[in-house]
Amino acid sequence: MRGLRRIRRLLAAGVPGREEPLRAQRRAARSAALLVRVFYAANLYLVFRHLRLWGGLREREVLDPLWPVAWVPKVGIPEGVDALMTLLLAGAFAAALLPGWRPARIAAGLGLLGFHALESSFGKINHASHGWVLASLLLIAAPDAGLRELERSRLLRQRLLNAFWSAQAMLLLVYSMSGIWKALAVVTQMWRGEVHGLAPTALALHIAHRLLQTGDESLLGPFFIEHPALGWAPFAATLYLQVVAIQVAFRPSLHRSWGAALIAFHFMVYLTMAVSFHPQVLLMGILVLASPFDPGWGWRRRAADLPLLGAVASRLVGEAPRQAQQAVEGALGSHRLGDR
Amino acid sequence: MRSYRRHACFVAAFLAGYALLGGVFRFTRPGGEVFPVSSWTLFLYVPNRVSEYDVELLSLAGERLPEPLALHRARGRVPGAGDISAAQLVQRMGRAHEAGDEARLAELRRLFERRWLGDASAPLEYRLVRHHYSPIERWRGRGVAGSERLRSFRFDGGES
Repeated sequence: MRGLRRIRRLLAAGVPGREEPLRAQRRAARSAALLVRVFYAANLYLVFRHLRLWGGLREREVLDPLWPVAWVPKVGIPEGVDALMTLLLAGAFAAALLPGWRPARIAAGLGLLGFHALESSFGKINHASHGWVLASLLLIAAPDAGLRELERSRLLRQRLLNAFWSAQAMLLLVYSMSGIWKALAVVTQMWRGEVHGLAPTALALHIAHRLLQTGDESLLGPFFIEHPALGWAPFAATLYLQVVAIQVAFRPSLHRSWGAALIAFHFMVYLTMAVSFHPQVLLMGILVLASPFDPGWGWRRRAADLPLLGAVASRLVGEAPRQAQQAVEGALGSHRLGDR
Repeated sequence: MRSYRRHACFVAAFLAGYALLGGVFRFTRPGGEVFPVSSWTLFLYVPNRVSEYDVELLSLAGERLPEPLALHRARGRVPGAGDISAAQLVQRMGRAHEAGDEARLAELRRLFERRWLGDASAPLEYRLVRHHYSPIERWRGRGVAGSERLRSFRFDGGES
Protein backbone atom coordinates (compact mmCIF):
# COMPACT_ATOMS: atom_id res chain seq x y z
CA MET A 1 0.00 0.00 0.00
CA ARG A 2 2.87 2.36 0.84
CA GLY A 3 4.43 1.59 -2.52
CA LEU A 4 1.20 2.50 -4.30
CA ARG A 5 0.98 5.74 -2.34
CA ARG A 6 4.53 6.61 -3.30
CA ILE A 7 3.76 5.99 -7.01
CA ARG A 8 0.62 8.10 -6.75
CA ARG A 9 2.53 10.99 -5.16
CA LEU A 10 5.23 10.72 -7.77
CA LEU A 11 2.71 11.03 -10.60
CA ALA A 12 0.47 13.62 -8.96
CA ALA A 13 1.23 17.32 -8.72
CA GLY A 14 2.26 18.61 -5.32
CA VAL A 15 -0.51 21.11 -4.59
CA PRO A 16 -3.57 19.71 -2.79
CA GLY A 17 -7.07 21.10 -3.36
CA ARG A 18 -8.43 23.79 -1.03
CA GLU A 19 -11.93 22.32 -0.69
CA GLU A 20 -12.79 20.53 2.52
CA PRO A 21 -12.19 16.83 1.72
CA LEU A 22 -15.53 15.38 2.81
CA ARG A 23 -17.50 18.06 1.00
CA ALA A 24 -15.35 17.52 -2.09
CA GLN A 25 -15.96 13.77 -1.88
CA ARG A 26 -19.74 14.24 -1.66
CA ARG A 27 -19.74 16.65 -4.59
CA ALA A 28 -17.58 14.38 -6.74
CA ALA A 29 -19.59 11.26 -5.86
CA ARG A 30 -22.88 12.90 -6.86
CA SER A 31 -21.35 13.89 -10.14
CA ALA A 32 -19.79 10.43 -10.67
CA ALA A 33 -23.12 8.71 -9.96
CA LEU A 34 -24.78 10.88 -12.60
CA LEU A 35 -21.98 10.20 -15.08
CA VAL A 36 -22.24 6.42 -14.54
CA ARG A 37 -25.94 6.77 -15.37
CA VAL A 38 -25.03 8.77 -18.49
CA PHE A 39 -22.42 6.13 -19.42
CA TYR A 40 -25.04 3.36 -19.45
CA ALA A 41 -27.61 5.55 -21.23
CA ALA A 42 -25.02 6.29 -23.94
CA ASN A 43 -24.20 2.58 -24.08
CA LEU A 44 -27.86 1.88 -24.74
CA TYR A 45 -27.72 4.29 -27.67
CA LEU A 46 -24.63 2.58 -29.10
CA VAL A 47 -26.25 -0.85 -28.66
CA PHE A 48 -29.28 0.45 -30.55
CA ARG A 49 -26.92 1.35 -33.41
CA HIS A 50 -25.41 -2.17 -33.30
CA LEU A 51 -28.85 -3.71 -33.83
CA ARG A 52 -28.58 -3.14 -37.58
CA LEU A 53 -25.70 -5.66 -37.63
CA TRP A 54 -27.71 -8.46 -36.04
CA GLY A 55 -29.22 -9.87 -39.26
CA GLY A 56 -25.91 -9.73 -41.14
CA LEU A 57 -23.98 -11.41 -38.35
CA ARG A 58 -26.49 -14.30 -38.23
CA GLU A 59 -25.87 -14.98 -41.91
CA ARG A 60 -22.10 -15.25 -41.63
CA GLU A 61 -20.82 -18.70 -42.48
CA VAL A 62 -17.20 -18.33 -41.43
CA LEU A 63 -15.57 -16.81 -38.35
CA ASP A 64 -12.04 -16.50 -37.06
CA PRO A 65 -13.37 -16.35 -33.50
CA LEU A 66 -11.62 -14.47 -30.71
CA TRP A 67 -11.55 -16.25 -27.35
CA PRO A 68 -14.72 -14.72 -25.83
CA VAL A 69 -16.76 -16.07 -28.76
CA ALA A 70 -14.86 -19.32 -29.43
CA TRP A 71 -18.06 -21.16 -28.48
CA VAL A 72 -20.15 -19.49 -31.20
CA PRO A 73 -19.21 -21.78 -34.16
CA LYS A 74 -19.76 -24.80 -31.89
CA VAL A 75 -23.37 -23.92 -31.07
CA GLY A 76 -24.02 -22.61 -34.58
CA ILE A 77 -23.42 -19.04 -35.76
CA PRO A 78 -27.09 -17.90 -35.91
CA GLU A 79 -27.84 -19.32 -32.44
CA GLY A 80 -24.62 -17.90 -30.97
CA VAL A 81 -25.26 -14.47 -32.47
CA ASP A 82 -28.83 -14.47 -31.13
CA ALA A 83 -27.61 -15.38 -27.64
CA LEU A 84 -24.92 -12.67 -27.69
CA MET A 85 -27.22 -9.97 -29.02
CA THR A 86 -29.85 -10.87 -26.43
CA LEU A 87 -27.26 -10.54 -23.66
CA LEU A 88 -26.04 -7.25 -25.16
CA LEU A 89 -29.55 -5.83 -25.29
CA ALA A 90 -30.68 -7.12 -21.91
CA GLY A 91 -27.48 -5.96 -20.21
CA ALA A 92 -27.62 -2.53 -21.82
CA PHE A 93 -31.26 -1.99 -20.83
CA ALA A 94 -30.81 -3.30 -17.29
CA ALA A 95 -27.70 -1.17 -16.65
CA ALA A 96 -29.33 1.94 -18.11
CA LEU A 97 -32.34 1.47 -15.85
CA LEU A 98 -30.44 0.35 -12.75
CA PRO A 99 -26.84 1.56 -12.98
CA GLY A 100 -26.43 1.07 -9.22
CA TRP A 101 -27.22 -2.66 -9.46
CA ARG A 102 -24.08 -4.72 -9.98
CA PRO A 103 -25.66 -7.74 -11.77
CA ALA A 104 -26.97 -5.33 -14.42
CA ARG A 105 -23.50 -3.85 -14.89
CA ILE A 106 -21.99 -7.35 -15.11
CA ALA A 107 -24.48 -8.28 -17.84
CA ALA A 108 -23.73 -5.03 -19.71
CA GLY A 109 -19.96 -5.62 -19.44
CA LEU A 110 -20.17 -9.22 -20.63
CA GLY A 111 -22.53 -8.26 -23.43
CA LEU A 112 -20.08 -5.64 -24.68
CA LEU A 113 -17.12 -8.00 -24.37
CA GLY A 114 -18.91 -10.70 -26.37
CA PHE A 115 -20.34 -8.41 -29.03
CA HIS A 116 -17.11 -6.59 -29.78
CA ALA A 117 -15.18 -9.86 -29.79
CA LEU A 118 -17.66 -11.16 -32.37
CA GLU A 119 -17.38 -7.99 -34.41
CA SER A 120 -13.59 -8.42 -34.44
CA SER A 121 -13.74 -12.07 -35.52
CA PHE A 122 -13.55 -11.35 -39.25
CA GLY A 123 -9.84 -10.86 -39.75
CA LYS A 124 -8.98 -7.73 -37.80
CA ILE A 125 -9.43 -6.60 -34.22
CA ASN A 126 -11.13 -3.20 -34.21
CA HIS A 127 -9.93 -0.89 -31.45
CA ALA A 128 -12.60 1.81 -31.55
CA SER A 129 -14.72 0.16 -28.86
CA HIS A 130 -12.03 -1.27 -26.58
CA GLY A 131 -12.51 1.69 -24.26
CA TRP A 132 -16.19 0.87 -23.76
CA VAL A 133 -15.44 -2.77 -23.06
CA LEU A 134 -12.69 -1.98 -20.55
CA ALA A 135 -14.60 0.83 -18.83
CA SER A 136 -17.72 -1.32 -18.50
CA LEU A 137 -15.65 -4.11 -16.93
CA LEU A 138 -14.02 -1.71 -14.45
CA LEU A 139 -17.33 -0.05 -13.54
CA ILE A 140 -18.54 -3.43 -12.29
CA ALA A 141 -16.44 -2.64 -9.21
CA ALA A 142 -18.68 0.35 -8.37
CA PRO A 143 -20.73 -0.35 -5.21
CA ASP A 144 -24.04 -2.14 -5.34
CA ALA A 145 -25.87 0.97 -4.20
CA GLY A 146 -28.43 3.53 -5.32
CA LEU A 147 -28.31 7.30 -4.80
CA ARG A 148 -29.89 7.11 -1.35
CA GLU A 149 -27.28 4.67 -0.01
CA LEU A 150 -24.51 6.78 -1.55
CA GLU A 151 -25.77 9.89 0.25
CA ARG A 152 -25.66 8.03 3.53
CA SER A 153 -22.34 6.23 3.31
CA ARG A 154 -18.92 7.81 2.94
CA LEU A 155 -17.39 4.39 2.24
CA LEU A 156 -19.80 3.68 -0.64
CA ARG A 157 -19.11 7.11 -2.11
CA GLN A 158 -15.40 6.45 -2.01
CA ARG A 159 -15.84 3.06 -3.67
CA LEU A 160 -17.86 4.67 -6.45
CA LEU A 161 -15.15 7.30 -6.95
CA ASN A 162 -12.45 4.62 -6.99
CA ALA A 163 -14.28 2.64 -9.65
CA PHE A 164 -14.91 5.76 -11.71
CA TRP A 165 -11.30 6.86 -11.44
CA SER A 166 -10.08 3.39 -12.45
CA ALA A 167 -12.15 3.62 -15.66
CA GLN A 168 -10.67 7.06 -16.35
CA ALA A 169 -7.16 5.81 -15.66
CA MET A 170 -7.67 2.83 -17.97
CA LEU A 171 -8.74 5.12 -20.80
CA LEU A 172 -5.78 7.42 -20.28
CA LEU A 173 -3.42 4.46 -19.94
CA VAL A 174 -4.16 3.22 -23.46
CA TYR A 175 -3.25 6.63 -24.87
CA SER A 176 0.00 6.54 -22.89
CA MET A 177 0.78 3.05 -24.16
CA SER A 178 0.22 4.26 -27.71
CA GLY A 179 2.34 7.38 -27.11
CA ILE A 180 5.22 5.58 -25.41
CA TRP A 181 5.44 2.99 -28.22
CA LYS A 182 5.45 5.83 -30.75
CA ALA A 183 8.21 7.62 -28.82
CA LEU A 184 10.27 4.42 -28.86
CA ALA A 185 9.59 4.08 -32.58
CA VAL A 186 10.87 7.65 -33.09
CA VAL A 187 14.18 6.63 -31.54
CA THR A 188 14.35 3.42 -33.59
CA GLN A 189 13.60 5.16 -36.87
CA MET A 190 16.03 7.99 -36.07
CA TRP A 191 18.68 5.33 -35.42
CA ARG A 192 17.92 3.69 -38.77
CA GLY A 193 18.14 7.04 -40.55
CA GLU A 194 14.48 6.90 -41.62
CA VAL A 195 11.74 9.51 -41.57
CA HIS A 196 10.55 9.32 -37.94
CA GLY A 197 7.63 10.57 -35.88
CA LEU A 198 9.20 13.96 -35.18
CA ALA A 199 10.15 14.63 -38.81
CA PRO A 200 8.08 17.23 -40.70
CA THR A 201 6.73 14.69 -43.20
CA ALA A 202 5.60 12.09 -40.63
CA LEU A 203 1.94 13.03 -40.62
CA ALA A 204 1.81 13.34 -44.42
CA LEU A 205 3.24 9.82 -44.81
CA HIS A 206 0.76 8.35 -42.34
CA ILE A 207 -2.15 10.06 -44.08
CA ALA A 208 -1.10 9.01 -47.59
CA HIS A 209 -0.53 5.41 -46.49
CA ARG A 210 -3.88 5.12 -44.77
CA LEU A 211 -5.84 6.73 -47.61
CA LEU A 212 -4.15 4.36 -50.07
CA GLN A 213 -5.01 1.33 -47.95
CA THR A 214 -8.71 2.09 -47.85
CA GLY A 215 -9.22 4.25 -50.93
CA ASP A 216 -11.02 6.72 -48.62
CA GLU A 217 -11.05 10.46 -49.06
CA SER A 218 -10.66 12.93 -46.23
CA LEU A 219 -11.29 16.62 -45.88
CA LEU A 220 -7.86 17.74 -44.64
CA GLY A 221 -5.68 14.79 -45.70
CA PRO A 222 -4.71 16.15 -49.14
CA PHE A 223 -3.85 19.54 -47.60
CA PHE A 224 -1.41 18.03 -45.11
CA ILE A 225 0.13 15.79 -47.78
CA GLU A 226 0.78 18.84 -49.95
CA HIS A 227 1.99 20.98 -46.99
CA PRO A 228 3.71 18.36 -44.82
CA ALA A 229 5.54 20.83 -42.56
CA LEU A 230 2.21 22.08 -41.20
CA GLY A 231 1.58 18.62 -39.79
CA TRP A 232 4.66 18.70 -37.58
CA ALA A 233 3.21 20.69 -34.68
CA PRO A 234 -0.06 18.72 -34.37
CA PHE A 235 1.85 15.44 -34.58
CA ALA A 236 4.40 16.46 -31.93
CA ALA A 237 1.62 17.82 -29.68
CA THR A 238 -0.26 14.54 -30.02
CA LEU A 239 2.83 12.62 -29.00
CA TYR A 240 3.11 14.74 -25.85
CA LEU A 241 -0.62 14.44 -25.06
CA GLN A 242 -0.46 10.67 -25.39
CA VAL A 243 2.81 9.96 -23.59
CA VAL A 244 1.82 11.81 -20.41
CA ALA A 245 -1.87 10.83 -20.44
CA ILE A 246 -1.56 8.35 -17.57
CA GLN A 247 0.11 11.00 -15.43
CA VAL A 248 -2.91 13.22 -16.06
CA ALA A 249 -5.12 10.60 -14.39
CA PHE A 250 -3.36 11.61 -11.15
CA ARG A 251 -3.83 15.35 -11.79
CA PRO A 252 -7.56 16.12 -11.61
CA SER A 253 -7.05 19.73 -12.63
CA LEU A 254 -6.04 18.49 -16.10
CA HIS A 255 -8.75 15.86 -16.65
CA ARG A 256 -11.08 18.15 -18.57
CA SER A 257 -8.34 19.73 -20.67
CA TRP A 258 -6.97 16.30 -21.62
CA GLY A 259 -10.46 15.04 -22.38
CA ALA A 260 -10.98 17.97 -24.75
CA ALA A 261 -7.51 17.66 -26.30
CA LEU A 262 -7.77 13.91 -26.92
CA ILE A 263 -11.24 14.36 -28.41
CA ALA A 264 -9.76 17.04 -30.68
CA PHE A 265 -7.07 14.50 -31.63
CA HIS A 266 -9.78 12.04 -32.75
CA PHE A 267 -11.44 14.81 -34.79
CA MET A 268 -8.10 15.50 -36.44
CA VAL A 269 -7.52 11.80 -37.18
CA TYR A 270 -10.93 11.59 -38.80
CA LEU A 271 -10.50 14.77 -40.83
CA THR A 272 -7.08 13.71 -42.12
CA MET A 273 -7.12 9.90 -42.30
CA ALA A 274 -10.86 9.15 -42.27
CA VAL A 275 -10.35 6.88 -39.26
CA SER A 276 -13.42 7.10 -37.05
CA PHE A 277 -13.15 6.38 -33.34
CA HIS A 278 -16.60 7.82 -32.60
CA PRO A 279 -17.41 5.54 -29.63
CA GLN A 280 -14.14 6.64 -28.03
CA VAL A 281 -15.06 10.31 -28.48
CA LEU A 282 -18.34 9.74 -26.64
CA LEU A 283 -16.57 7.82 -23.90
CA MET A 284 -13.87 10.44 -23.41
CA GLY A 285 -16.59 13.06 -23.23
CA ILE A 286 -18.43 11.25 -20.44
CA LEU A 287 -15.53 9.97 -18.37
CA VAL A 288 -12.72 12.49 -18.81
CA LEU A 289 -14.06 15.73 -20.30
CA ALA A 290 -16.85 15.81 -17.70
CA SER A 291 -14.58 14.53 -14.92
CA PRO A 292 -16.16 14.75 -11.45
CA PHE A 293 -12.72 15.32 -9.92
CA ASP A 294 -12.16 18.72 -11.49
CA PRO A 295 -11.13 21.08 -8.65
CA GLY A 296 -12.51 24.17 -10.38
CA TRP A 297 -9.18 26.00 -10.43
CA GLY A 298 -8.24 28.91 -12.66
CA TRP A 299 -6.24 28.18 -15.80
CA ARG A 300 -2.97 29.59 -14.42
CA ARG A 301 -2.98 27.09 -11.59
CA ARG A 302 -3.88 24.28 -13.96
CA ALA A 303 -0.95 25.20 -16.20
CA ALA A 304 1.42 24.52 -13.31
CA ASP A 305 0.16 20.91 -13.24
CA LEU A 306 1.16 20.19 -16.85
CA PRO A 307 3.45 17.13 -16.89
CA LEU A 308 7.04 17.97 -17.90
CA LEU A 309 6.07 21.51 -18.95
CA GLY A 310 4.42 22.74 -15.74
CA ALA A 311 7.23 25.03 -14.61
CA VAL A 312 7.60 26.67 -18.03
CA ALA A 313 3.85 26.94 -18.60
CA SER A 314 3.13 28.45 -15.20
CA ARG A 315 5.92 30.95 -15.75
CA LEU A 316 4.55 31.84 -19.17
CA VAL A 317 0.92 32.16 -18.21
CA GLY A 318 1.62 33.44 -14.72
CA GLU A 319 4.50 35.86 -15.28
CA ALA A 320 3.59 37.21 -18.69
CA PRO A 321 0.15 38.56 -17.67
CA ARG A 322 1.61 39.90 -14.40
CA GLN A 323 4.37 41.74 -16.25
CA ALA A 324 1.84 43.10 -18.73
CA GLN A 325 -0.31 44.27 -15.86
CA GLN A 326 2.67 45.94 -14.17
CA ALA A 327 3.62 47.63 -17.44
CA VAL A 328 0.08 48.97 -17.88
CA GLU A 329 -0.04 50.14 -14.27
CA GLY A 330 3.36 51.77 -14.72
CA ALA A 331 2.22 53.57 -17.86
CA LEU A 332 -0.99 54.72 -16.20
CA GLY A 333 0.97 55.87 -13.16
CA SER A 334 3.52 57.84 -15.16
CA HIS A 335 0.71 59.75 -16.85
CA ARG A 336 -1.24 60.04 -13.60
CA LEU A 337 -4.17 58.36 -15.39
CA GLY A 338 -4.66 55.89 -12.59
CA ASP A 339 -5.63 58.65 -10.16
CA ARG A 340 -8.74 59.72 -11.98
CA MET B 1 -10.62 0.84 4.84
CA ARG B 2 -9.76 -2.75 3.95
CA SER B 3 -12.08 -2.73 0.93
CA TYR B 4 -10.55 0.58 -0.20
CA ARG B 5 -7.06 -0.93 -0.04
CA ARG B 6 -8.21 -4.06 -1.82
CA HIS B 7 -9.71 -1.97 -4.61
CA ALA B 8 -6.63 0.25 -4.90
CA CYS B 9 -4.42 -2.85 -5.22
CA PHE B 10 -6.82 -4.37 -7.76
CA VAL B 11 -6.81 -1.22 -9.90
CA ALA B 12 -3.03 -0.88 -9.75
CA ALA B 13 -2.63 -4.56 -10.69
CA PHE B 14 -5.21 -4.27 -13.48
CA LEU B 15 -3.55 -1.22 -15.06
CA ALA B 16 -0.01 -2.53 -14.68
CA GLY B 17 -1.06 -6.00 -15.85
CA TYR B 18 -2.82 -4.56 -18.90
CA ALA B 19 0.22 -2.51 -19.91
CA LEU B 20 2.58 -5.42 -19.31
CA LEU B 21 0.47 -8.02 -21.12
CA GLY B 22 -0.09 -5.60 -24.00
CA GLY B 23 3.67 -5.41 -24.45
CA VAL B 24 4.20 -9.16 -24.07
CA PHE B 25 1.43 -10.05 -26.54
CA ARG B 26 2.86 -7.68 -29.11
CA PHE B 27 5.90 -9.91 -29.41
CA THR B 28 4.45 -13.32 -28.60
CA ARG B 29 0.98 -13.55 -30.22
CA PRO B 30 0.45 -13.94 -33.97
CA GLY B 31 -1.85 -10.91 -34.23
CA GLY B 32 0.13 -8.99 -31.59
CA GLU B 33 -2.80 -8.90 -29.13
CA VAL B 34 -5.40 -10.89 -27.20
CA PHE B 35 -8.74 -9.07 -27.18
CA PRO B 36 -9.33 -6.77 -25.32
CA VAL B 37 -5.66 -6.53 -24.30
CA SER B 38 -3.77 -4.60 -26.93
CA SER B 39 -0.35 -3.03 -27.06
CA TRP B 40 -1.92 0.02 -28.77
CA THR B 41 0.89 0.17 -31.30
CA LEU B 42 -1.37 1.95 -33.76
CA PHE B 43 0.37 3.96 -36.50
CA LEU B 44 3.61 3.05 -34.77
CA TYR B 45 6.23 3.50 -37.45
CA VAL B 46 6.18 6.26 -40.03
CA PRO B 47 5.70 4.38 -43.33
CA ASN B 48 8.81 5.46 -45.27
CA ARG B 49 8.90 2.81 -47.98
CA VAL B 50 6.05 0.36 -47.67
CA SER B 51 6.07 -3.31 -48.60
CA GLU B 52 2.60 -4.69 -48.21
CA TYR B 53 0.23 -7.25 -49.61
CA ASP B 54 -2.77 -6.43 -51.71
CA VAL B 55 -5.45 -8.29 -53.63
CA GLU B 56 -6.12 -7.57 -57.29
CA LEU B 57 -9.36 -8.74 -58.82
CA LEU B 58 -8.91 -10.32 -62.25
CA SER B 59 -12.51 -11.25 -63.01
CA LEU B 60 -15.86 -10.53 -61.41
CA ALA B 61 -19.15 -12.43 -61.78
CA GLY B 62 -17.49 -14.64 -64.38
CA GLU B 63 -16.32 -11.76 -66.57
CA ARG B 64 -12.68 -10.91 -67.05
CA LEU B 65 -11.83 -7.32 -66.14
CA PRO B 66 -9.98 -5.19 -68.71
CA GLU B 67 -7.18 -4.72 -66.18
CA PRO B 68 -6.54 -5.95 -62.62
CA LEU B 69 -8.58 -4.00 -60.10
CA ALA B 70 -7.06 -3.31 -56.66
CA LEU B 71 -9.36 -4.31 -53.81
CA HIS B 72 -9.67 -0.78 -52.41
CA ARG B 73 -10.83 0.47 -55.83
CA ALA B 74 -13.65 -2.08 -56.14
CA ARG B 75 -16.19 -0.11 -54.10
CA GLY B 76 -19.75 -1.19 -54.77
CA ARG B 77 -18.53 -4.42 -56.35
CA VAL B 78 -17.24 -6.43 -53.38
CA PRO B 79 -17.98 -5.84 -49.67
CA GLY B 80 -14.31 -5.69 -48.64
CA ALA B 81 -13.40 -2.77 -50.92
CA GLY B 82 -12.14 0.11 -48.79
CA ASP B 83 -12.57 -1.79 -45.55
CA ILE B 84 -9.49 -1.71 -43.34
CA SER B 85 -10.45 -5.09 -41.80
CA ALA B 86 -10.29 -6.68 -45.26
CA ALA B 87 -6.95 -4.95 -45.97
CA GLN B 88 -5.53 -6.27 -42.69
CA LEU B 89 -6.78 -9.77 -43.44
CA VAL B 90 -4.97 -9.60 -46.78
CA GLN B 91 -1.75 -8.82 -44.85
CA ARG B 92 -2.30 -11.95 -42.75
CA MET B 93 -2.89 -14.00 -45.92
CA GLY B 94 0.31 -12.63 -47.38
CA ARG B 95 2.30 -13.50 -44.27
CA ALA B 96 0.85 -17.04 -44.21
CA HIS B 97 1.83 -17.44 -47.88
CA GLU B 98 5.37 -16.19 -47.25
CA ALA B 99 5.70 -18.53 -44.28
CA GLY B 100 4.53 -21.46 -46.40
CA ASP B 101 1.69 -22.12 -43.93
CA GLU B 102 -0.82 -23.54 -46.43
CA ALA B 103 -3.35 -24.62 -43.79
CA ARG B 104 -3.50 -21.13 -42.27
CA LEU B 105 -3.64 -19.54 -45.71
CA ALA B 106 -6.61 -21.76 -46.66
CA GLU B 107 -8.39 -20.78 -43.44
CA LEU B 108 -7.80 -17.06 -43.98
CA ARG B 109 -8.75 -17.29 -47.65
CA ARG B 110 -12.02 -18.92 -46.76
CA LEU B 111 -12.79 -16.12 -44.31
CA PHE B 112 -11.69 -13.45 -46.81
CA GLU B 113 -13.73 -14.88 -49.67
CA ARG B 114 -16.90 -15.54 -47.68
CA ARG B 115 -16.86 -12.25 -45.71
CA TRP B 116 -15.15 -9.74 -47.97
CA LEU B 117 -15.70 -10.94 -51.54
CA GLY B 118 -19.17 -12.44 -51.14
CA ASP B 119 -21.35 -14.66 -53.27
CA ALA B 120 -22.81 -11.80 -55.28
CA SER B 121 -19.59 -11.23 -57.20
CA ALA B 122 -18.73 -14.94 -57.68
CA PRO B 123 -17.36 -16.67 -59.63
CA LEU B 124 -14.29 -14.51 -59.56
CA GLU B 125 -10.54 -14.69 -59.82
CA TYR B 126 -8.08 -12.69 -57.83
CA ARG B 127 -4.41 -12.64 -57.11
CA LEU B 128 -2.33 -11.92 -54.07
CA VAL B 129 0.40 -9.40 -54.80
CA ARG B 130 3.06 -7.55 -52.86
CA HIS B 131 3.68 -3.89 -53.62
CA HIS B 132 6.70 -1.78 -52.70
CA TYR B 133 6.06 1.94 -52.71
CA SER B 134 6.52 5.34 -51.15
CA PRO B 135 3.09 6.45 -49.82
CA ILE B 136 3.35 10.08 -50.90
CA GLU B 137 4.63 9.20 -54.38
CA ARG B 138 1.88 6.66 -54.87
CA TRP B 139 -0.76 9.00 -53.50
CA ARG B 140 0.36 11.57 -56.09
CA GLY B 141 -0.36 8.99 -58.79
CA ARG B 142 3.22 7.94 -59.50
CA GLY B 143 2.41 4.27 -58.99
CA VAL B 144 4.36 1.66 -57.10
CA ALA B 145 8.13 1.16 -57.21
CA GLY B 146 7.79 -2.59 -57.66
CA SER B 147 5.32 -5.48 -57.41
CA GLU B 148 5.48 -9.22 -57.06
CA ARG B 149 2.64 -11.51 -58.08
CA LEU B 150 2.43 -14.19 -55.42
CA ARG B 151 -0.57 -16.47 -56.04
CA SER B 152 -3.82 -16.52 -58.00
CA PHE B 153 -7.05 -17.91 -56.62
CA ARG B 154 -10.54 -18.65 -57.87
CA PHE B 155 -13.67 -18.23 -55.77
CA ASP B 156 -16.85 -19.88 -57.03
CA GLY B 157 -19.14 -18.77 -54.21
CA GLY B 158 -20.95 -21.05 -51.79
CA GLU B 159 -18.77 -23.56 -49.96
CA SER B 160 -15.92 -23.47 -52.47
